[in-house]
Amino acid sequence: MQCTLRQAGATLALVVLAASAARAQESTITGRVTSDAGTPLPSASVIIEGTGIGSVTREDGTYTLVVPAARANGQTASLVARLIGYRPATAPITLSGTHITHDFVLIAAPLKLGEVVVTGQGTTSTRERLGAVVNTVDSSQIRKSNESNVVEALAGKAPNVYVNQQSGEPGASSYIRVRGLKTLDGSGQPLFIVDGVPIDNTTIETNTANPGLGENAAVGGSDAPNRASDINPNDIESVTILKGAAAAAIYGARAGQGVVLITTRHATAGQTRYSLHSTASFDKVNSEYPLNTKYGQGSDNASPSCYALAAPIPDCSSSSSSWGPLLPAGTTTYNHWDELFNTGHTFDNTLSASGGNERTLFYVSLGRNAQNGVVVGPNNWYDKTTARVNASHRVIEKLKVGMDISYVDARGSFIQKGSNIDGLLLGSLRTPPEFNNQQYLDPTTGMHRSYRFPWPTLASSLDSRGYDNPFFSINQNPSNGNVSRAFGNINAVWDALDWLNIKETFGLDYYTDERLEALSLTSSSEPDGSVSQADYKNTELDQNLTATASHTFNPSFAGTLTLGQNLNSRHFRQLYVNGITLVAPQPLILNNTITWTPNDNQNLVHSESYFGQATADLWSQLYLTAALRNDGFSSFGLSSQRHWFPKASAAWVFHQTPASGGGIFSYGKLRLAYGETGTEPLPYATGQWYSVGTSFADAGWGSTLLENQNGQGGLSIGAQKAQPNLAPERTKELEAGLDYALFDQKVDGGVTFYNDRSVGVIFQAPLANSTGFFTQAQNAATLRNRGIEATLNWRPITRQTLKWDMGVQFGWNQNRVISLAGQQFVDLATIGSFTGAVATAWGDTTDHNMSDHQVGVLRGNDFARCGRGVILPDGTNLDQTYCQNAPANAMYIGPDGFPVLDPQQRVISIGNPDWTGSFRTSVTFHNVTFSALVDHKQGGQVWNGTKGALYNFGAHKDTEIRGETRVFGSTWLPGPVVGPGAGTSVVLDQNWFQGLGSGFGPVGTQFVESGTYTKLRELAVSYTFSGNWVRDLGLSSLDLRLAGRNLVTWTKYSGIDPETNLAGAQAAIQGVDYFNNPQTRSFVIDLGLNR
Amino acid sequence: MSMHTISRLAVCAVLPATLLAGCSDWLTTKNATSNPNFPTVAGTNQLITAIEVGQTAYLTGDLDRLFMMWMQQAGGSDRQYVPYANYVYDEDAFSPDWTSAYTGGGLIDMRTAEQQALTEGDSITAGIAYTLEALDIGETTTVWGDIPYSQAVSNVLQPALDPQQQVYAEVQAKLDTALTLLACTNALCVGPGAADLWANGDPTVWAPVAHTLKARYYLHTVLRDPTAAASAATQAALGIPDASHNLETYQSTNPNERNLFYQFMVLQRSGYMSAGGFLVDLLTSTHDPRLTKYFSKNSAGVYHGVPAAGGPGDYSTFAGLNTTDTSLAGAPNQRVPLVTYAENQLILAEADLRSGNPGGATAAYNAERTSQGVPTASGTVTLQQVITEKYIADFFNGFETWEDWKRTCLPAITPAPGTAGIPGRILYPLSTERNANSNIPAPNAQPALNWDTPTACAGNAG
Repeated sequence: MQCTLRQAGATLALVVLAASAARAQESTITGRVTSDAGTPLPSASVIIEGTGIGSVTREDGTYTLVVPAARANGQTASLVARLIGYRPATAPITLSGTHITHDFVLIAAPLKLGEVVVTGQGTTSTRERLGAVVNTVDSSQIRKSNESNVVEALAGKAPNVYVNQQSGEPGASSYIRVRGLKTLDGSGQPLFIVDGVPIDNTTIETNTANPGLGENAAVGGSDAPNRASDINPNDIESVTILKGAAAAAIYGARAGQGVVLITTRHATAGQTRYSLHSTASFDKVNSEYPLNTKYGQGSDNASPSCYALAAPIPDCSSSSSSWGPLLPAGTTTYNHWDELFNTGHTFDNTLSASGGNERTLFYVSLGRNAQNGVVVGPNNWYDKTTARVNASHRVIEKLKVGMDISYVDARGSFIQKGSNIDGLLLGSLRTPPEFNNQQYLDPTTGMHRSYRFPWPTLASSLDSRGYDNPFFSINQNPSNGNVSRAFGNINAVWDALDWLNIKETFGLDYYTDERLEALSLTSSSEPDGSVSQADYKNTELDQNLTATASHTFNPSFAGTLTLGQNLNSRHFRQLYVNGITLVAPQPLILNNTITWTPNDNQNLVHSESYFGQATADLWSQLYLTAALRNDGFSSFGLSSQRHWFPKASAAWVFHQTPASGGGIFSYGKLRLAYGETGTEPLPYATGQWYSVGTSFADAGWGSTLLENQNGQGGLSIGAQKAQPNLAPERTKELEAGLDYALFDQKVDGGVTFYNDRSVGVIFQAPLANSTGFFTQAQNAATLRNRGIEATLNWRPITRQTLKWDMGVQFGWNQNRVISLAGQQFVDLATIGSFTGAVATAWGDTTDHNMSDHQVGVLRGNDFARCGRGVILPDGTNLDQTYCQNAPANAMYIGPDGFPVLDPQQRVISIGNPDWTGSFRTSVTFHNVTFSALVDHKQGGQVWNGTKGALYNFGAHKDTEIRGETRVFGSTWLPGPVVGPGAGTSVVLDQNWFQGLGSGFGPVGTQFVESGTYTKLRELAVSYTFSGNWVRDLGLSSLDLRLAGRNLVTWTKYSGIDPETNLAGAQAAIQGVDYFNNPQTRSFVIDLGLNR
Repeated sequence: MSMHTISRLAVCAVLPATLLAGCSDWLTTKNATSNPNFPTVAGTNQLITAIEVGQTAYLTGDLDRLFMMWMQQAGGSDRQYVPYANYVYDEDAFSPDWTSAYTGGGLIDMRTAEQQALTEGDSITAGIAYTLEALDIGETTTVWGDIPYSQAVSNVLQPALDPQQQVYAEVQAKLDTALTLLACTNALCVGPGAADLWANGDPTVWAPVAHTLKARYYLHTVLRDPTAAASAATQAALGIPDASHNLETYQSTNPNERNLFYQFMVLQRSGYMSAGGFLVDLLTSTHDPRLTKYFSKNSAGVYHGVPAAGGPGDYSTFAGLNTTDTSLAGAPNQRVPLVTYAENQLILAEADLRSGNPGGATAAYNAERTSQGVPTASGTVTLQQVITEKYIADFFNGFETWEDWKRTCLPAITPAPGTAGIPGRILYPLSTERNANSNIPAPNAQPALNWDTPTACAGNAG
């Protein structure tokens, strides 16, 4: 403490001294930074440590620093030059008011040892000190992806970081999952932190019940962005992913699914630098859909009765299917896929300026991303305008204040999609080939016409069209979003003492999101018209205070201690009103509707946390870290509102060749880490409440009686029993790994093993209704994720004029349901499911196939097969009677030659991939660079519900075989078969495709396909112009890049794209395909001007 | 979220003491721990309203139609209602109905209303709530026999089954309590007023209803308890004095207030259920004027009900479906009778017959027939006449019609051909009870009949 007081006095004295020393002379430092190969290194930072004075090298590698006379007092300091990919170099200098020249030679260090890595909650480390895996994606990788959504830009960038885009629609959400699902309650999205402050990344689909409580995913409706896409990728300096509990425990009860730390660009002192970054992207749908082109509308080979007479029958409701007669030769047919799409385009421009002096630094940027989607017509777009200011000012020598603030205006127009009779592809792909959808208004009456309602009259102005004509839906069913958002922080860093650093960050994330989703008169689901106006408001406040003490006891023992406090408040409010029954056809606003149903809903979560972290560096080769966090959340039960989350790790650098040395084995590090993180419960599960405006249902028959009757308001107790003891879900993870480098760092890599167990996972446990309640939230399930991650990088050629490097990544994660507290399965409540394909966590103990025991599988029915104890409808035991010599899972064929239903529900589709991997390479020859990224997903099944439905309607290409004979097990559904009808030829016709062979029938397994794919994610050639003419333009450099995104997809999947994600980023289940809007490929021209 | 929150956050962060102790109420601030979107307390009036709507869904919905079909007052003419008419259903088919008895709008809210009303000193409201509980539990035990009751709606997660005999005794005790409470005359006994959708909080309606219910549930036990008939007669004598004191549901033509017969037969499941062949034929053969009040003619212009086997056809349906004439069955605004003067008189008639008072029985029967506008008995009335009249008069009350049939095997209905006959009870539901309550036996270990109806009618299940 004595020490503290003396130091504090010294600080005060320094301030006084600084103010009185104005007469001294300023000092100039110049020099040049080059590589060990002798080439100049631009963009290297050169700083005087501990002063904030610094600069960045020019294109020729030179730099200039000016130290004001007030601060050049003859003291000695360290001058450090840093550049990512090189080892930092240090030189001692004396600041004495004279001119100093110092040149640096930096030695290549591809391992990025010494590079500072943010490790969360205000703590940092260096790469060699890390005991748990932390993946970093830098700005150039983000930029190369050409993605406007930072989440999508992470695809293929880190092992076991699985990214899946909802669709290619502008503004569509992207799902990210790190090391498997660890919860049953939510979507499993990691926590997003920007510049130290958490931001909201939910995806809210309009018309979902209660987005504040996670109920946001929908299989119909229209796409919506995940809110992290509000960040301008051009503003990003780096993205750091804390993957497992061992790395993320510092974030406690919000880090159960990992943490994504985003750091935005900040300036360094020196000349003001300007940059203009422009891209133009041209987007095309990346697939075709195989549709029936031979058979016309109708049923049983007959045209629908609407067509039976010579003259059209006004307001006739026509057949929904294409089981009509063979179309006569010469019949005009329409391509119901191609006609919906054209070339979309995206223009992205970001202008930034940064610079400042040793006291004040600024980075400002203005960005505009305007995207026009591939769906024809004017209503498929998403525009994002972003502004950012990152600035800091050194108030006094030891105190720096700053702010990082961004404002975003994002607005878009979306298309109805998915399981939705007003949706784009549902109506389109079911249309018989001879019907012209493009004429969506009747030429005589001007009314909405569709293939199920071909001749509308004015009398039909309130009649459903069966399915909307897709062109009507595109043009007359608007779905708009309009976001206004500010997020950022103000911060202060006080170097209180030589050994003590105090940092305060106060963050805010505030947005309003105004949605309008309307259906015009004659829309199929609401022919009377519907207007949904939803206003969402999200506010998150975050206060983070840390104090870090560091001390070097002796050369072989140094350590740090960080203590911190975090307060956080999150408030979400929705004001939603659905109005039905339009008065006049236009405008589509609430005032013009008759019956209103409001849903005003809000929730508030407060948390208060304390944390501490200690590190010790021993003999410069053993690095120990231990941390402990105590979280209090308002959503925890009042009886146990505080919970501890520990972590500890060790990194042992057991071999490291000297900086200049080579050798076959140049680096080796062993890592071992343990950590615990949590997933917070949804708010308000701990208290009891009465439902308002509930309807009492007449069993499942659709009739309802509202509890408010005769002007009297009724209140009945809610269906969920309060759980006053609710605690966070807890994930405990052990992680071990090895990092190494070979051949003078020409090769490096790492391998990591982890095993985590999530206990107390919350689900709504069913209660005996005689208790008065349906369910009660319980911390009861146990899940496990374990996996292997490996990376390998090879730089075969590292000459200055020719460089070639490549890398592979591999991630395997195995998800297992260990226990569901006696339940056979728990359906995942937050997403919509389909009859016959219900999203669930499966833990049926009678099902001994452990690979079925996963979170995020679909349950449904299969055909009767051997080895499952099936009793056939006639009472025969299938296994005993037919399966004696049959292969496992042989399909039973009945006497009529057809398979039969196995009535027992099973897991029919596993959406989780077996493993994921990527390969990247780049070759640089002089100023030209070629680069490529290939992304692979192995396994992960997709339920092709689109195909199943189109079979039912005779609209799929496959149904053109109608009337032909096939043999089950060989020419149809190939595989081993048994039973009396095995080998029998049968005619496949409407009866089959609308019966057991229908997607609407009970057997979902026949539409489950492998979702394995390989994608050429990124391919680019870039050229850096640096001739004199560039300088004559007043520029320091000019980059031109031609690139492609998702150019090729290699897959056997027969639907639109195995990457499709119907319910968007808020759905825990992947691999559900049901008339989702398609994915796209893009061609990109990218121009960068720097000054 | 507001400046208030920001300033609180600033205070919680900046005050040095909070580094140790925190802001004492930061985690327990009201909107963060209790749901701001819903009330956490409910007044007795709001509870009474919701209970009556919930019980309307329970007593005039799914199960009611099922029993009316089994009793051939109605018939299953399409989709799932054809197998239902043939007594084909699985153990989960009636899970939602079980739910109505116990959860929100059922027993749990009744208990809250009772306790709150007693605390507030409003005995009238408490008496109504006790009567509602007796009706709910009385009908639930009528259907399922042994049911969770003494441990239901408590903190016991797996309530035990109470024997039906005990449940009936408890129901009688509840009604006794209700009658005591309903007699209250002090100033705190304001009653629920209009919040009581069924009877406007009028104790002169509820007290006779409680007596009639006592008579009803005594009569349920006559095959087991030799004194029950006399008790039933005593209570019925104090029961509903005339049709203007009937207990009826609240309905109107407003979209969420239309009765469930109308909603099912017109809005949701048109064609699933039609007129029952047995009742149509009975009313036709006796030239009973209630035929035209209950049923409409089919498209061929005749009255034609669904046969026992069910299935599609050109059948009569309910008379009022396309009208707003509340005297016709199934009109959307028709209030559905739950406990009536007619039932009370016919309970009295049966009780008198069973207690050796045929004169009293005949008088009660004739009074009921007169009130219905149909001819009186020519001599001393028989049990068959009494139950047959009750079968007609209790048209909307499938629960009681089924119970009367199980006790008396009257009227003599022929079950659907090729079946094991009309069930004597239904299975405990799987998903809403058995799945989470180990006290519930598996389907094959459940009894075929309830305690109060120990013998199956000839040719029927049991």
